[in-house]
Amino acid sequence: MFKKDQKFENFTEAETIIGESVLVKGNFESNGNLIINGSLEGEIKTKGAVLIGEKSKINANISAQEMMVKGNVVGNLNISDYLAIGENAKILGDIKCSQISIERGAEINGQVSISNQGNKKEKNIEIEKIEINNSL
Amino acid sequence: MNVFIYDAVTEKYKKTTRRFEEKINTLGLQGKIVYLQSIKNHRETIEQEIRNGAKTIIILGNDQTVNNVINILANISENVPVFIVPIGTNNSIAESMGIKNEKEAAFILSARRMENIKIAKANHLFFINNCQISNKSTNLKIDNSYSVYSQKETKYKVVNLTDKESFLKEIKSSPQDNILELIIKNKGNDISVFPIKKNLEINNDQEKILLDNSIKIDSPASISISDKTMSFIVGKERLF
Repeated sequence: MFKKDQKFENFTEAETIIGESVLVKGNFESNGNLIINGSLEGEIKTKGAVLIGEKSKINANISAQEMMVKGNVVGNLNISDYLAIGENAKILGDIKCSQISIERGAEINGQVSISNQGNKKEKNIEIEKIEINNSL
Repeated sequence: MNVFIYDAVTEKYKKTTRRFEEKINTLGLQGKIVYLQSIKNHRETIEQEIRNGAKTIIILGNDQTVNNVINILANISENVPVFIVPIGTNNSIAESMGIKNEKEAAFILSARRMENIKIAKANHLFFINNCQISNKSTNLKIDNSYSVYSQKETKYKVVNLTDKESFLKEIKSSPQDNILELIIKNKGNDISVFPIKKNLEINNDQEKILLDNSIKIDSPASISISDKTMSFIVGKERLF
């Protein structure tokens, strides 16, 4: 699993890499980590982590353990653990995750639900609708 | 008993072959020599040698020779260890196995370091190293669930054994994990890697698929790991 961008630059960390000039269409299922710098239309399900690079164009619902978004995503994100959203990210869809970090400049248009299941004492955080347009 | 299978290419590279033979004699690893060019039925001859008790099959030749012999051995139930001696050019399989030249080969054979390797299949033909096709007009479907397209002109390469090109890019393919890798390389660091866990369907009615840099086949083709495992004697510097 990753906490830093640099981890994704090492090919051995990812089972699947979608390069800039490649388009994937269909349902993608995996147990490993996934790096996307190209385009994907369909659905992604992985028990690992997903990095969506700055030049990527994703039109898919995504389920993963951890995820970092730096590019464009149209679709719902269901992240069981940590979601990091970079400054150039544009997300059009609903988000569910346990932990989240959002950099200044990110654009999110959808419902964000943050439920920290790891700490039972902590209340779930439910945000009905969040739109962040260069406002954080 | 060691059985040495000589391809016709050994005739062209007599000096190289002779150097290997000298080392083999020094190490006391001599055995029976079978000249492929002088027999009509390769399969029958190799099967007969195995029935006669061959302990190691030693292939002298290039990728095409290796692919040819592997396609015979993969259809035989006995698992006799195989060793490759690279002769001439186009020796990427030997290179992946850490056998750089004929001089090193004799010592590697003597050390007898063994690895089990899963052989891959394209329709009814086996390959060990890779298969490739131009992306022009090619449709790919991985594991019956998603399609992959390169938007730039390139080659689609399915890798079983890590070759030098992949090794230098730090992309490692293990021939022991039941997974093939589809690698799409464009300029710079624009590289894609997809694991193939079940199969890859290739469709292209214009281009042929090249197996082990030597055999061309038509599509549609289904590429997958076969259920055949073979033992190979490999060098310390193997790439997988």
